[in-house]
Amino acid sequence: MIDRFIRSLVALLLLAGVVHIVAILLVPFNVPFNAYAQLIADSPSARLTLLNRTSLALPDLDPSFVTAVCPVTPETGPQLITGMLPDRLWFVSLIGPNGDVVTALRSDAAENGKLSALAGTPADVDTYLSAHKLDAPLPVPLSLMGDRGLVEIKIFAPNEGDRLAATAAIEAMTCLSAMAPPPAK
Amino acid sequence: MLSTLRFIIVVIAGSLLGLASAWWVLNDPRLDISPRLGVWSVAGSEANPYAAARLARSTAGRLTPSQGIALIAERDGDGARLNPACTYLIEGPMPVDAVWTLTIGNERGRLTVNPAGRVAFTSADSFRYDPGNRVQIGVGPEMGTGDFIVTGGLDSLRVTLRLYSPTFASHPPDPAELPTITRRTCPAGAPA
Repeated sequence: MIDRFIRSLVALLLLAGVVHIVAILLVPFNVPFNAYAQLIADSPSARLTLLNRTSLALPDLDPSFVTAVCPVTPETGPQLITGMLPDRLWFVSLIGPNGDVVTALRSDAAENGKLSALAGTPADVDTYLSAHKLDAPLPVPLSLMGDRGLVEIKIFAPNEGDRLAATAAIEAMTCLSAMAPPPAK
Repeated sequence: MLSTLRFIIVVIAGSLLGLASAWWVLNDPRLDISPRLGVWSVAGSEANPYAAARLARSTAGRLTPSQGIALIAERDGDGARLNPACTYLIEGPMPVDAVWTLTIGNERGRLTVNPAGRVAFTSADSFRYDPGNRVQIGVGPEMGTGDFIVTGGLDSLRVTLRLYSPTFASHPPDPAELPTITRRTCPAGAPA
């Protein structure tokens, strides 16, 4: 009787250990409330969306930065992000659906604050760059690991004046399908 | 019949125990084994499967090595859990060559809401430095003197210090180069 009980207890603990390990290992692939995956699905395509600093969309946003996002999905295709960024610390990141930052540029990567970056799958980026005119400046490639992600632009804006300037800069930027014709002037 | 019943009980109890222990390990901050720098733990560390699972659940707040590092404090210098009903002093040196931000929110990343609209201090703010060039930032439920952030209405308390310099990602600062968090006052009945 005691022998059976001990065997059952050992089996129970072994099973608990296996379930524990499997559950921990699966968490990164099965987070049901992943904010980034939700944001990629919810963000309007082909435009930059400013996030409120108390945004419920993304917890843990640094409130001292003005943040905007633009989704890259199979539906949107590769996205060309262009514009002028202010003379402040800024980051342009490509983030995967699980929140991993795939690539990131910082303010010292752009000449005179002028940004031109292309975000998409490696195949899309290669196709775009190989078809690009040789005499035109190439955009900085930002390659996804999977087929979807989020371009995040963050500009350091510690006070209200900086926030206004950063917001205006982002509003003047474009995030457009690299396959689409340029907007009419 | 009895052995089948025993088998079912073992499977159900083992699965529940495994899931419950996984949930407990991921939710109890005392079991957070992220790399520590004094009162601060390094956010975004994937040093082991537990840290990777915690990181996946927190989803945000992380910085890439090219951006810098994010440090999180949910306990004071005595090891007690930070309580938004208590008053704390964040005191010590800050990096002089890097942009930094110090933000007050709850453990789910929601920012404090207060009448002053002050949720953070940054390296761009003017500070009352002490003679040792150390910042002194108060945090508590009622507005205090000097540089202060009111915790207004938070249900838990987390201090996030982000250091925007790739240097810190490869060479984290020494704990002595970072501020500490000291509990000043606490209402009667607040957990010690």
